[in-house]
Amino acid sequence: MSGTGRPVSGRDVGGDLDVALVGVSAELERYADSATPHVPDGLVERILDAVASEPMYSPVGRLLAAMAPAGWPGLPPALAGLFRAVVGRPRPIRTAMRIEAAALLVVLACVVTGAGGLAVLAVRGMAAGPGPVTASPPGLVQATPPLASQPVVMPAPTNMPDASPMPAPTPARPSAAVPTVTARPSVERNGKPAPVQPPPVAPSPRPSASAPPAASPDGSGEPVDGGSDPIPSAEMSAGSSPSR
Amino acid sequence: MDDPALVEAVIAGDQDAFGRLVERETGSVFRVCYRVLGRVHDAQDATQETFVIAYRALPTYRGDGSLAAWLARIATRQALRTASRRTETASLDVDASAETPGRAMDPVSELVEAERAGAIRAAVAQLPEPYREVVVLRFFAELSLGEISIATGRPLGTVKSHLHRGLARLRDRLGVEAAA
Repeated sequence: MSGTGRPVSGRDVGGDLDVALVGVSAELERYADSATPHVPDGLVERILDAVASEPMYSPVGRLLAAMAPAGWPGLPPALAGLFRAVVGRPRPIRTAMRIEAAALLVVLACVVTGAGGLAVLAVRGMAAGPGPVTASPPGLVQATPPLASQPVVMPAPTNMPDASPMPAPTPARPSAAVPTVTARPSVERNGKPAPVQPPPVAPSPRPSASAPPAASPDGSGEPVDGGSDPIPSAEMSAGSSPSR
Repeated sequence: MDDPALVEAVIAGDQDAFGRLVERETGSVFRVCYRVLGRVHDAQDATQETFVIAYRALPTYRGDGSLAAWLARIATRQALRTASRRTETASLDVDASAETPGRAMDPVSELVEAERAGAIRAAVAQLPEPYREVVVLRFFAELSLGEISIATGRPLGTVKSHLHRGLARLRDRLGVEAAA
């Protein structure tokens, strides 16, 4: 455009330029004029290819990129964040190979390490579609019913033989579905004359014990996120959790 | 075909229209990127990403300014982003000045020129926003103040003010003296 080395040109501040800044303006113009290379051959074709083949990844990259909107359900948040950083947006072709290699390494590392199981299940779930993601936790959920059901049945009857005046209490309690009552009675009743009183008191310490069968996906009896939502898998498939 | 019609055709799925747009604007976009980055390969990548971003964002083009100015703003941001990412690495590229035409200087002059160019690029890249964007759009993208005003959505007076302050900061950094 310019390039004649003139001290001031039309590119300055519309005639309002402070004289003290004219030198800077001229310097920038000189630089701009000197830094004007020809457009490299093939650049236009490369751009068109890049746009046409968006998102510009190999099958691995495309799979990971396709999972991005769902937030890579099932993956630990930190890992999901790493994936997002790696393939979350298109990259120049020149660096795409490097990025994909890095993504592949992350996948392999994830599979090899202990946490890899979740990643594999998540990848399978995503490959099958958005719905089946809930199918990944079931293997873990299966462990919960037996664990949760055990305390309901046992200790109460075994520790109560001395409470002969009250044969009825045991059949009457099951409706309350308070498994934890059984743990405390043995301790408390040793010194207490009235065995019938404890039941109403005991439920409060562990009210959550009644929920776990449906709420604990990992079989520990505690919701993973500390919340009471009984459908964690549904949330994960929506992809909202890895927002951090 | 004017800008709005071209954009509408692209949005409607006309790949040829996008090809025409790329052919028409690649030169100016590449120039902005190269002036910010100073390396041909980096400028190529930034140019490519500019068009990928623009392709996705075309529906948001309002048509109140020129398409070239709209693209220049995307290119400026993309190039500055690339520049900020690579600051920790030193390049061994020697192609920066190899493709600039009309240069027949002796090696010493060329070295001095290259150092000066590098100092200018670094000084501009280190300017805080919004001064940096306005300076780049004005001197590297060669947009008029009116075009910058429309592209950035800022009043003309504000653009002038930003440019003035940006140049003042550059003067301090570059040690440029007032024109004699």
